Amino acid sequence: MNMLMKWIRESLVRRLVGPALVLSVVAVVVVGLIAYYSVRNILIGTAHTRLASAIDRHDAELKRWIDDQKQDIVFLSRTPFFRENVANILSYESSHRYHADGSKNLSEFLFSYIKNYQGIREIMILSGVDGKVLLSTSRESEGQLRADYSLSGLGDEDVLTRGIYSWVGTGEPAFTVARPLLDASGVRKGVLVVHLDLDRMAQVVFGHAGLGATGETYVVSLENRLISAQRSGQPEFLWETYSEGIQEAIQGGRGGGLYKNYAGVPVVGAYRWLPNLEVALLAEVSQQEAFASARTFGLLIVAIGTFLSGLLFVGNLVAARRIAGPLMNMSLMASRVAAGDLSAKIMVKNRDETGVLAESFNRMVERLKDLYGELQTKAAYFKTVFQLSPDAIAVLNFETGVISDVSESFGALFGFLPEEAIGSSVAELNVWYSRKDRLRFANTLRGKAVVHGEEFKLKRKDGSFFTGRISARMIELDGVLHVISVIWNISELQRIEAALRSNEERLQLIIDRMPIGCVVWNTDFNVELWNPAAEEIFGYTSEEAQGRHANDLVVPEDVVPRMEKLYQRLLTGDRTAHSENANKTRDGRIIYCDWHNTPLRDQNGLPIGAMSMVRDISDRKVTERQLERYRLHLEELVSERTRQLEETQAELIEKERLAVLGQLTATVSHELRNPLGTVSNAIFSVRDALQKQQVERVDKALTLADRNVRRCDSIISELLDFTRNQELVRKALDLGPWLKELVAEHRRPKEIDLVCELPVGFVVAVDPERLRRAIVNILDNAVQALGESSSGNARITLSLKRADGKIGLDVVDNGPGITEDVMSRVFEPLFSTKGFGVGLGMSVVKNIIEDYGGDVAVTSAPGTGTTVTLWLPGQREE
Amino acid sequence: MANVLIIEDDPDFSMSLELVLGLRDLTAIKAPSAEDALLFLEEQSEEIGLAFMDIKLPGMNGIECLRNIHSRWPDIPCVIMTGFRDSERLESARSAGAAEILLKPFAMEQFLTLVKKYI
Repeated sequence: MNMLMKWIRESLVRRLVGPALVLSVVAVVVVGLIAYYSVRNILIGTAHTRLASAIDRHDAELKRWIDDQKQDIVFLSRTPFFRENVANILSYESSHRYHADGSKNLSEFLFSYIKNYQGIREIMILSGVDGKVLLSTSRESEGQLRADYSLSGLGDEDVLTRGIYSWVGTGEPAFTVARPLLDASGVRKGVLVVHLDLDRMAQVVFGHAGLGATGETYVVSLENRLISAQRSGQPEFLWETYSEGIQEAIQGGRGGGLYKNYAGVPVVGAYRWLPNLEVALLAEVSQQEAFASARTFGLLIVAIGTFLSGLLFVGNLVAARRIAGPLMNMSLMASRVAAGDLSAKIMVKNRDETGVLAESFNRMVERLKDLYGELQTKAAYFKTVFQLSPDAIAVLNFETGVISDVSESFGALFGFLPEEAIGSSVAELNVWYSRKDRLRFANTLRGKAVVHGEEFKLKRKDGSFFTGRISARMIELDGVLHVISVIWNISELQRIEAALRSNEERLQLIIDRMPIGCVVWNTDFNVELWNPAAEEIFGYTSEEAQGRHANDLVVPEDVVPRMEKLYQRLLTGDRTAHSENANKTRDGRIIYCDWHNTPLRDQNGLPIGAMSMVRDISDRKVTERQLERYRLHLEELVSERTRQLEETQAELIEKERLAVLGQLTATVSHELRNPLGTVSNAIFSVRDALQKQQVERVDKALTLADRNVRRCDSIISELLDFTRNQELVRKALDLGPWLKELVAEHRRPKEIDLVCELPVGFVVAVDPERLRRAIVNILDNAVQALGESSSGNARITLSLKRADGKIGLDVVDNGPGITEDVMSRVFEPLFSTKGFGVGLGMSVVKNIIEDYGGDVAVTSAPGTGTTVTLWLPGQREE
Repeated sequence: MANVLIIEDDPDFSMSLELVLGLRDLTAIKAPSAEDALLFLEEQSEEIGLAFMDIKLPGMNGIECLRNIHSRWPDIPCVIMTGFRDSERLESARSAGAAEILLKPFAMEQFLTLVKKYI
């Protein structure tokens, strides 16, 4: 719809057809209106005539109906029955029987009368004296005062009619016919009053208006009261009905016109004042009905006109399209071309002006197509170049910084996706490391419109930095200043350069600082490099040595030919070569040097010279000779020292022995004091007991003394054993029987069970006295251990065994065993866990057994017992 | 009150003292270690009028034992008996509260004088 409106507003056809269409429509409307109003005026005239004649007719009918009613009433009043009964009513008091009879009779009569005469609403008889209602067909009226001044004009023989007015009793509109009631002497005794039925009247009079559907005839009283009530659709009589026609008629006029009736409906009306009835008579018909035919006629005229206008419009349209068609087609094509469709072509239909225009247009489009194709090819070419460029390229708006295009490498360099970068501003992408750089770039562009490979620090998406060399140029694209920037990441290049420089410097430093001479020779054996260490060795400065031949510098004359040959061989073959040569120095000395030579080659493997590392080993040669002398001397020295050491060692051993002995003496002297004290105490007790004659105590004291004297002896023997140095006594001893004897003599608590597995034939060569002491020591330890154990079933087992020509004696107890820390000190002299004893026990055992080439082993597990094994060299019995 | 506690790990030595005391109608309570002695005192300290102790004892040594007894039962005089002669040990014995010190071997008269003095 909008499209259509637009077309109508804008099209050329509209401009051709529009005015004619508007003019024809206006003409049709004017003709239609004129026709309508002409017919309307004619219709008003005829309506007036019709209404006026209707009023005349109704006026006459009304008069006739009223006259009929009057005659009927006169006739009623003259009937003898009526007169007789009225006379009774009027002549007698109301209490009189005649009055009552008259009333009753007349009442019945009048009711039946009214029933038969529909034109009467009420009949009443009024007293001539006081105007009271004596009798009425309406019971509520009886006894009421109904005398009306309007009845006063009633003559004795008259029939009085009173036009429509408000009846004094009820206020309702009434049309009254009155007649005096005279007695025989002609004196008026009362009045017969008859109210006509106005509804009936209206029905009779206006029943057949003949004025069409909306036509209406009605009367209005002087009090603006509508009499013909049904006309307004209401049963009540309407008060206060006004209209232009009513007012005119009430004021005594007659005529007609166009106005709005009492209900506000526009009508055509005619009216007249009826003086004898004192009412206005109106006849009206609604304008809508009255003018219906005029409207129909007007519309018919408009319809015909519209049809004609339509025909005219179509004709115009066809003509207009014939002119506008080619132009429109051309404009359509032009807009397609504008939208980029270069295939558009206009059909050339004829050779008139529009045909020539269309042909020119087609040629223009052809040309445009060629140019466009060419342009596209070039664009594609440049786009490819742009995208393939290994350097990052960005095109951006100079003022806003918004990027309009980037090359793929731009994305790779900065870490943005191209679609991310395009449309964003440089500020948003945050590619400048510093504001300073950005301003420098912008200012250079603003000043010179171009930036030539300047370096800037740039930032990637991930926040890392790099140095970019940027070339940029200002360019105007679509009238807006743009910048095309080509960015080359030179960070890597800079890093490599720096690394190279640093390596070079380090290499130079190494060469300068190394304590070894470093010389680079070219293929002609001339010096190219000569480091400070080489200066030091040969005495030539680097400047002096530079470019000079080896033979001039370091090679002694007698070896020149050989060196030349060696050098050639080095260049062509050997990877490295090592040699020790005699060389000459600047001041003519001959020195010895150690050379490490390496051939140098270019990228193609061709020799370009050699590098030599050289050390002056003259000093080392001298040192080597000295070392050899020292070595010989040292050997003598070592053998001498060894001898001294052996002596010292022996001394040391002796010293250690003495030190142990010293400690031993201290311990022993302390240990001796206890048994000595005991003996002394015992002797005192003996004396005491003897004095007191207590023999048993003497015995006890002596036993004590005896035992402790032996303890002293035992301590001294152990000490002797430990410090013994004299010749060993060796006697063949059959261990089995000998041990049995020993065990029998050994004193121990009788709870301890002693088991012996001691066969004969285990012969060793020992001093029996010393071995006895060792074994007693072991047994004492076992007894002691078992004593600590609270469990019963204490047992010591002695058994003999043989292995590898040795004889072993196991002494096994089932005591509490030895803890690990004690075990490690078992053989330590002076170590004791007992309150009783010197602490030499196991060390003495070890001394004794080792003296005879034997060995002592102790194995123990806490909780299961201890096994002491004595190993002695066995001796075969002969 | 009239008993003598002898704390000595050499059974023969304590027996010899018991003999001498027995001849004087005195009862000797023999404890082979400091721990035994303290155990006894815990229960019957009122029976002990005088205590003799060796320095070298298995487990808790004599000086430690002396210190214990002295602090808990200060009424019981303690005599140290030792074969050692070094002043260091003797000094620590004195400072621990030893009433007297007897150097082994000592004369019985000396021993009995002390017993008479404290009982």
